[in-house]
Amino acid sequence: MIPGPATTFDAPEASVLNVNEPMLRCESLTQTYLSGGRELTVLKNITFALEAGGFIAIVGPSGSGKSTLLGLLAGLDRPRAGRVVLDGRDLGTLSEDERARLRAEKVGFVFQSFHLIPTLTARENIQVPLELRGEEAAARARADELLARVGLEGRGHHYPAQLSGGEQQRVALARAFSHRPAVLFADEPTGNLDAATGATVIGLMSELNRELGTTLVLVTHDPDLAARARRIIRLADGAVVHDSAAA
Amino acid sequence: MPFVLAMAWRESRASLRRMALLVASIAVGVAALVAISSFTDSLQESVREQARALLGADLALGSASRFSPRAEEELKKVVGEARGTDVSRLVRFGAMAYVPRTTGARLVQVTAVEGGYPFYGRIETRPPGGWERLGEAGGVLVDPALVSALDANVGDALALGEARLAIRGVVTSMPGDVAVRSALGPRVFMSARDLDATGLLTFGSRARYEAYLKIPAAEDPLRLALRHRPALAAERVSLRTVSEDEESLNETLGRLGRYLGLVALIAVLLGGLGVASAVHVFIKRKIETVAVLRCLGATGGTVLAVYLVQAAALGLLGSALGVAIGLGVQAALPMVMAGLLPVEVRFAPSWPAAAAGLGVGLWVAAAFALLPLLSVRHVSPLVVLRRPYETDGPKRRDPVRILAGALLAASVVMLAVLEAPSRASGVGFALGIGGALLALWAAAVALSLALRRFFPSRWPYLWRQGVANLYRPANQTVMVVLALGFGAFLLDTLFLVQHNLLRDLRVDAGADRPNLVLFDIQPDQRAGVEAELRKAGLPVREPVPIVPMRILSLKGQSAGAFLAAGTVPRRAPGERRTPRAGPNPWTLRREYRSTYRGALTSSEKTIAGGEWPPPGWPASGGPAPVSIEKELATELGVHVGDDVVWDVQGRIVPSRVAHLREVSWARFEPNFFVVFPPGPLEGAPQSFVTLSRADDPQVRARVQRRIVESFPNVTTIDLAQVQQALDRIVSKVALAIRFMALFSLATGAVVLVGAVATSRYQRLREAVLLKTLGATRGQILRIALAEYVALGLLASATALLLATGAAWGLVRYFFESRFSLPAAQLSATVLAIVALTVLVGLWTSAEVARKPPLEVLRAE
Ligand SMILES: Nc1ncnc2c1ncn2[C@@H]1O[C@H](COP(=O)(O)OP(=O)(O)O)[C@@H](O)[C@H]1O
Ligand SMILES: [Mg+2]
Repeated sequence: MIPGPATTFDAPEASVLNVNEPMLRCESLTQTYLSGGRELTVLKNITFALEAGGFIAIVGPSGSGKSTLLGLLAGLDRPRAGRVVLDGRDLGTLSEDERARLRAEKVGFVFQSFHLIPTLTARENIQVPLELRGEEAAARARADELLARVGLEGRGHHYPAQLSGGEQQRVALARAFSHRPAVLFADEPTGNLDAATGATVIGLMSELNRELGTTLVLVTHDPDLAARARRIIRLADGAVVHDSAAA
Repeated sequence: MPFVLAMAWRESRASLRRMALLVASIAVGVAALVAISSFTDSLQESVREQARALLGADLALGSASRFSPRAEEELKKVVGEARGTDVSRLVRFGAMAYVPRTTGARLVQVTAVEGGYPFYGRIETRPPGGWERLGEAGGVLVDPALVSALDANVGDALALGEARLAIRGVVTSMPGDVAVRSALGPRVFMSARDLDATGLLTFGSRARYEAYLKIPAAEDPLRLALRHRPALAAERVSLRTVSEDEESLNETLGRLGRYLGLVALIAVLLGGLGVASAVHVFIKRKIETVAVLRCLGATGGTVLAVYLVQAAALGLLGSALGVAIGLGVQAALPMVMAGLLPVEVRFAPSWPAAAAGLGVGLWVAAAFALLPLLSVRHVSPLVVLRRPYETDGPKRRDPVRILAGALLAASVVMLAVLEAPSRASGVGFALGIGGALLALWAAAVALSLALRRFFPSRWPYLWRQGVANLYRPANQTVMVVLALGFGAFLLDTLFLVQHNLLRDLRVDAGADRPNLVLFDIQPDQRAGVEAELRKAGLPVREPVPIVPMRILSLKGQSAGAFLAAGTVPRRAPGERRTPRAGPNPWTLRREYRSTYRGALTSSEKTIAGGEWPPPGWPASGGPAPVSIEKELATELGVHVGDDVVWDVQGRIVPSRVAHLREVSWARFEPNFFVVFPPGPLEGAPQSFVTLSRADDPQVRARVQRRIVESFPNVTTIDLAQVQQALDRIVSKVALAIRFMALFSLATGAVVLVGAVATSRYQRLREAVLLKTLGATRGQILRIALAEYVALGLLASATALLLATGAAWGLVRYFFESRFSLPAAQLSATVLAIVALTVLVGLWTSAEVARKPPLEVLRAE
């Protein structure tokens, strides 16, 4: 259900009409946490924009705030200050449940520790996003297609515990793409995989990015991986210390 | 919605094994509820079917003395009005019986029958046909218990007063037979034609005179009863009808049902607690899944619905299982209650009861699951990016949570009010539960704070680690103490109430207390009886005179007028009598067996009126002063200064209430409702009672036999035998009560396992980590031991304190009885609960300790 120009012509807020409106934009994002009674600034004044179909890598040492930034961009949390606009919608104006619905519509996720639902089979895991949108019938066909796409045909009835790490991550990838999201967020997707398996997963990701025009946001501390992105942002201590687009 | 259902189905597929606790909790609670309400329904049905056979006639007249001429007149009128009425007369009295061929003597309950009683229902005998031959004089039918007690055979002669009657057979079954009733004295049935030959119905002997009427079908017994009751009541003759009997029996059984209903309610609430803790554990394991679902765009409401549907479905499964178990248990209940019920209860599943059980089970599962489930709405999707921090807890003032809490509280109150004997006690019950939960919560919080403050930092590492688990971030202290403590609280309360109620049925038989009672001694027999006692080497006490009398008028109003004016509504136990309701009819109908003496005994205490007897009397003149027992004074509605006129064997004796006493009835002493001063009654016809003691039961039996042979009208009672009979009744009642308590015990155990399992999940990762770091199995178990000992002790000690308070209140105010604390048994229950906690805790931890860490991590 990718909104095409023809079908969304009469929707004024639809981003596709406005070529200048980026898919993802954040302005002066700041996040603080209370830790042991003291306020800890984890992100400081982050601003950047990403066009539709773009591929950005966020890199930096552990603890520099990469996951926090990713969480804010995806609307998993609210920032202390600043704002995030995703596909033309200001996340700050949306309620928790509205953000959830927006995610069901536009966003896909891949995590370092896969996060498949252990009680569901591989196929059922892939079906969840479409089913959440009420597209039960489409979900099955799409799951078959994606299982084949990630090379797991015939493994659909297996539970996550019966799959290897690489296989689990491929299922997670299939799940992330099942509803053809506009943006895919990945938090160290290869962190728990060996180099060869990691390369396969990243290969799949960029293929899908190209085929579907999905905007990719990849958090990693692997420089080789980051190199495949079209743009790299480097974080240190919660601040952007380098942005390849600005360079 | 389809997503919610599909997701719920897929999820529960995997969690059924884990949710077995939830299913079991609901099943046991519902089983108790269904068993009890279905049984009560069957009981009511049986009463309806058997009510006529229970009475044995359409109308029954009864009096504590021979019918007066006016009463006979009234009876004739009834028979005249309903042509074709059949009348049968019974006289019932207590007497000593023995078999000349063998040794020993027994107090028996004699029924002398004249006419075709019973008109409805059958009395079975062995050999058969014995009842039909009863009318032929010269023979008796007896309870099997008498045959064995006196070592008799069918065909032996039975000595009853002056008469010798052949034992023709034994009674094997009769309608309305409460088996325990004969425990205090086996029954003997004889023909009324032999009554005179026994010579037992002399003056002063207590006997009950009854007339049973079979009314032709065309007449309405209730109409006859209403028309003639006032005149009969004035003559102290009570009148019973089948329909009224059925009603009052239903009322009594209904009360029994509601008491059992409260027990079932406790089981259901414990089941709810089991659900809450099972769901709590379940949700803990699901945080990651929930976070992923949230990430993928599921709203808080959708996720909640997924799990609520699961809980409800499992609740339904548990309820269905509970209904099946409950109906099975119901089939066993008549066996447990055997001998305690007046009707034969046939097993008939009550579908309304089953449906209600199903509904209550489903409702309780949903209501108790909702509160812990609500937290899934606040699981942050951020959890997928990193482990949750301590500060990420659920929002405190969540209106939905408060609403769910209120809903839960309302459900508990509603269930309590529905099941409890009265609305007030239902609300009290619910309030007690709320208070107990609050106190447990406070105790748990206090423990965490105290430990943080005064941490035993010098203890060995393993103990420190275990104790630290009680207050560390994400600890389960409050949850476990609540569930465990509440379960223990309900069980302890049940135990304490039961202990106190059953204790009251014990006779105080200390080493120097009398254990042989002789009464109905006529004045001319005093010397002879004392001589017999001395000859056997038994101590002899001063005999106490007994003068039978009745109330003629009260505060200037005649007793007959009070009685004819109608009946005062019966008093339910625990319900205080409203003052000014007038005297209770039994107080006017009964025959008082009063005494006269110049001092109080050791078992009496003055409540009002000062010294006994009043020092000024008889010099002051006026009517004789009397001392009245305080409970009777309440029932009569009299105070010091009120006038009471007595009919003492036809002589009119005026008196004025001058003194009120409290009597400790449990002490085996000749205790009296009414005491006169020496003087006014000395010339009245009277008999004497005396007490003695013999340690050797053989000696007691010989003395009893010797006295009955020489003085057939003197009744002797061996207190040890009475105690044995009482014990038999008590153990029957106790068995029935304990059987019901079993349900609570079973749910309590399920709750315990659930509560401990809650904490287990918390400790799992840590235990695995410790193992990775090189901890041995033993070390991990010792850490768990420290934690569970502390939890178990806190929970069961707090519960015990609360239960003591609750049981004290119940026993004192609801059952109006004395409260005592069985310290030894209580410490045993505390230890048992701690032991069980530790056992379940170690058992679940052992599983972690056994497996290689990798496998556990994968499985989680
Ligand atoms: N809820 C929180 N409370 C306190 N500190 C937090 C919280 N979340 C993250 N932090 C801190 O913020 C910093 C950045 O964390 P994170 O974004 O996970 O880093 P990265 O993903 O780059 O390793 C870390 O120092 C972390 O401890
Ligand atoms: Mg990170």
